[in-house]
Amino acid sequence: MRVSASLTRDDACDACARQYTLYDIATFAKLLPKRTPSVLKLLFTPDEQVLWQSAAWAHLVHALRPLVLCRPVHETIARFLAQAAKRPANQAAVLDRGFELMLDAFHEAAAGGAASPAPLNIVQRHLAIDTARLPHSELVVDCVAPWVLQVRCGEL
Amino acid sequence: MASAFEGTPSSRFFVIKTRDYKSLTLSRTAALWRTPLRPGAPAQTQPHERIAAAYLSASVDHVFLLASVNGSRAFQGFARVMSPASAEFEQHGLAGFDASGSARYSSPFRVAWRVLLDAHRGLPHDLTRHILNAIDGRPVPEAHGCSELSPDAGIAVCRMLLEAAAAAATTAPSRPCFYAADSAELAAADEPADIGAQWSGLLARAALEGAVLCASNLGSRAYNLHHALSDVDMLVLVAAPPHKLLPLDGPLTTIRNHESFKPDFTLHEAGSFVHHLLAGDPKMLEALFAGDAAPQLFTFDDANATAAATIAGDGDGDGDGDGDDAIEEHDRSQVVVFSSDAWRALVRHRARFCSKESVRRYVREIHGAKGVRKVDSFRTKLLQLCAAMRAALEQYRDDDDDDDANDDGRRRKRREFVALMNEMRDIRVHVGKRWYILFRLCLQAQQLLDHGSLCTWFPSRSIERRFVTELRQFDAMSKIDDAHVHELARPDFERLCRSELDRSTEYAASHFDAMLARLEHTVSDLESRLPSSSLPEMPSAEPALGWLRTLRSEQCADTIASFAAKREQELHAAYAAATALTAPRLALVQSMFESVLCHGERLLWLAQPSANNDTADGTAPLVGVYCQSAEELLRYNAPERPKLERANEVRSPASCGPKCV
Repeated sequence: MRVSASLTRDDACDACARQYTLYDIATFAKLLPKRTPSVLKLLFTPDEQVLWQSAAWAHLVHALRPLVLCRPVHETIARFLAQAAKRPANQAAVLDRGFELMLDAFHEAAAGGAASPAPLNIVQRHLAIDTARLPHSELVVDCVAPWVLQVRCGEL
Repeated sequence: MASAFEGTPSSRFFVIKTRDYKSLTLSRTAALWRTPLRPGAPAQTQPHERIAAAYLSASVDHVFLLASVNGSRAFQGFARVMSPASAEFEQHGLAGFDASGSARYSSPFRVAWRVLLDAHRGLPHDLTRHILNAIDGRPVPEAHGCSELSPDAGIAVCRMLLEAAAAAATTAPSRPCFYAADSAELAAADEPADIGAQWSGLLARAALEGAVLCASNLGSRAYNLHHALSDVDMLVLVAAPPHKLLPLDGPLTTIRNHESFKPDFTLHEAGSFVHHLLAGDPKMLEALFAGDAAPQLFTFDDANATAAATIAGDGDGDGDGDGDDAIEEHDRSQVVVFSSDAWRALVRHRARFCSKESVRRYVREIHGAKGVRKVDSFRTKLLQLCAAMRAALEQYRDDDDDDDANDDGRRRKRREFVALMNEMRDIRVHVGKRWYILFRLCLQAQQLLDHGSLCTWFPSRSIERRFVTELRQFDAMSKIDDAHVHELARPDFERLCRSELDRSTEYAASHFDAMLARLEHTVSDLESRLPSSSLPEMPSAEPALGWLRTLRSEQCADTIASFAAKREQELHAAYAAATALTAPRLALVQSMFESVLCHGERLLWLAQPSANNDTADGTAPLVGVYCQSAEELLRYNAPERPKLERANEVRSPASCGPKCV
């Protein structure tokens, strides 16, 4: 479930001229298997951009990161990048620091911890990932469903 | 069980009649029976002499007596003869034997009762009418007292009685058993372990899903419209624990048995039950009225009372029940196997759930795909089969008799006829059951409309019960046996075929039309009276939702408290982290907390993505993840989880004032 509040700019209410997007964990869990880049990116948000995180979220991110570094997710991102390349105006919305961190993680997973190759651009870096060394499939839902239950029950 | 039955083709079978059921129970206690003397008849034809001769015959394996109470239209059981009649047994006595009669009796003889069904639960004659007594060629139910049945007929009836006894033993436990029950409530019930395996198995299964609120019979056994071979439909309601209600893929709602699994059972979670109840589902309403009998709801005119009482097994036909009321009362009390305090709290509000919607649903079911339309399709099929049978019979009559002399050819032809006849019988059984269901639905819709209440238990002496049960006259009609048919002479075989054809043709034509007209008249009457009824349009939601709220808050109190504690701790930390933000950003975060996360949600994560997403003034939108509150998720979540009122809406934070769009 997504709660999105968009406000128009108003001189009398400057503080409201902002946007925020909140994901309910059920929506988040359902979007993960669809490999939506904006949702995947949440898992790789740089620490300096995080205002606050609960212990439950930290627990999930720690468990999920290795699971999404797999071939199906890589293929989905490749398709996404190909589309984004045709529409440069949209690239800025997605190809941010979080996305780069995700690619770094992919490289590390494929190279067994080796350093990332010298970056040229995001598309080239993505193509440089050795997919043969990535796991075949993702196990995201198996991990998220118990986590959702624990959070809802107040156990985590 | 049937497999343990010692009857053989070398056994002999006699029908015994009695005026009252009490004589049968006396006989079972004393292990004796005596037959009436026939004045003026030669000694060797006196019933007890014939039975004794059969018992002493070296060529006879066993002698059995099949008992039927006069007027009951049913067989109540059978006993095996263990001795010839002898005066020495007089001292053991059968005090009270056939007290209402004036006949003189022979000396008693020893018997061992193999099956004695309850007074109201005999094997109906309608279920044995298809069995022909080869001795006189008449249906078994037409046998007189002390007349003999052919071995094949006797064995068939005894096997049906054994099956009925087995079904009664497993489906009507005198007391419920709650072994392996997990819930404290069931454990507290502390019932003894003398139970039917089916109920105990289901309750053990249900306890794995949550605390059992109610366990009740459904279907014909709940309506008192069952016969000895009726199957069992079971309903169990549970209050599921939080981990069954809060998973990602939705809460537990309903579990049904697999198609091929017997007995039929339905397990509803409380939320699912409430959802269906508030939608006007008659089944849920009936569960709240299970076991209720209100004789005043039934038309009981004096002229028919005696006949009805006779049908219902009141042997003397005086309509007073002769103690059978106590047995019926006991049976009725067994409809609800278990009910918790929580369930009884909801039952107190049941009148508020009676609505026009339930009546409409009854009517829809009557008109629906499994209702009249289904019966109509059965009739079409039956007429087609009759036409095929007629044509085949014409052809058969024209065939050369020599063909029939050829064993293989004769067997092949007769097998085709038998297949047709059995298919016609199947359809008659299905149609009979369908009529029974449709008229039962009509009666219950009528009750709802007339009295604003439901009476699910049809009293045994009611005219309505008599009418509805007679619609099932073909129930359990057995198939025609291939082997038996091959032994018949050609004219006999043709006669059998024509008889089956005539019955099916008559059933598909005049009987069907009469029933349909009666049904349509009743339904149109219901529909015409519905608009002016004082019933509310829909069930009252407040009592059910209040009940569910209380139930859930008790069942899930620890979870709700734990969730709230985590939330408070997390929001406190998040506020503290937000104070480091610049003023406009802090205002936004605060407004988000106040306006969006104001229904008890947990905020799990909040981030401010990188600068290349910045808005015009150089700040990026916030992104966060939250968890809907446990209390809200548990509030009313069956079968679909409720959506937040503000979901997918673009809203202004309240603190922004009216100028924000």
